[in-house]
Amino acid sequence: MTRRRAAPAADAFEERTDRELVVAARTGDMPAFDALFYRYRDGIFRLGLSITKDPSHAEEIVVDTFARAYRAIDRLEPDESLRPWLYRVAVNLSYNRQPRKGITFSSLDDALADVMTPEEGSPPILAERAEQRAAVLECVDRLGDKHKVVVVLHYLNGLNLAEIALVVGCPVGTVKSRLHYALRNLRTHLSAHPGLSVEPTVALGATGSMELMRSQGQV
Amino acid sequence: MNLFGRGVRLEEQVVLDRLLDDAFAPGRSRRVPISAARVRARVAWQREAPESRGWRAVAWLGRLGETSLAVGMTALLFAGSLGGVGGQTDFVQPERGSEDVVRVAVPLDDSRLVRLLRLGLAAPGTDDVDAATVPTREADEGEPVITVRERGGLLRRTTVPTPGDDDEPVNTVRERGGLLR
Repeated sequence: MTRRRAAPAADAFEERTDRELVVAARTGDMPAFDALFYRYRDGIFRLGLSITKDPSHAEEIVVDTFARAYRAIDRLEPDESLRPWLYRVAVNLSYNRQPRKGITFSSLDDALADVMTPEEGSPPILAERAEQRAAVLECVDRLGDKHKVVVVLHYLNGLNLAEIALVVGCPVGTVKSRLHYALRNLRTHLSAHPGLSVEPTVALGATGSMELMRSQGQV
Repeated sequence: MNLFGRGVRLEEQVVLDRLLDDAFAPGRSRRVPISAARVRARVAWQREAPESRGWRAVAWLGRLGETSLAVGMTALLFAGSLGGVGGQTDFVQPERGSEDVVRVAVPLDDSRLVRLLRLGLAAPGTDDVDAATVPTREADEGEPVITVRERGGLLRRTTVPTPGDDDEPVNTVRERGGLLR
């Protein structure tokens, strides 16, 4: 009976927009605030983990971010999206907890390796794929902070350029520029890696780009 | 020519997008087991406890004491500054001409030896001389002082040409009291 009652309640919260949940949380509706928490908890954790590279710090960042959101719930503008505001707070908190130079808790790929879901494929292919991921994440780690946060927000958290602009507090054109330079630096770093081929002539071969994109399901 | 290096072509961007999507795929599927109760506990822990009436009175008295102390100190300083301006203040003015007098050690030459013999221990060890006339150290190091002008002093040594013998200057020690020539 309890499960039957709880499930529709959870669905009702999932269907409500951020604005409705913020307005409800202002009136003291704690389940509405909890719904906001469970909606953005994982994304903020991933963002914190990618910057601090420490899972315990990332958890603290999640808790701190939502504690601040709870205290500022009356000042939040319900018209604006809540997600960029939360990510902005999380980015600032992550930079405060960034590991000092010379101290590395674990690299980004190490932090993510323990949660890699088991994939299908032969062991050599899986090993090769894991090596490629490690190389790419290592190259992302070597980017500067401004470029790295744009790449992480775009590719890991799935934010669009306008939302990233709200998070980092700069115009959309600046975000585009940073993303472009980040990709250019990544191309340089990845080209130097022997196991990866970023050059389109090698990657696409004689089949043409459209066929490759079709085969990868991107078109 | 691109001054900032070659840009990222569309084909390259497709490959990079695929690599980045693939690299971040395990991270995107990550879930964190944090409960909302932890946030509520953090909020409750950081919330300031409501003050009782007694503590509020103590705090009010403390603030009143701080304010009165600050006002009193300000008034005291202000009164002190006004008294300093209005009252008579004796300034010690330096004696006229004393600022350019320095004391230098004069080498013991014949005339000084004579003066020491005549005056004994009452003779000062140093002479008051005009700073403008003190020869520099580079010029007269190791050489006897040729001319020392003494400001109202006891001894003056000058080179006085004699009228009859212009070619040969005569060093004459003139003493103000006229005792030795």
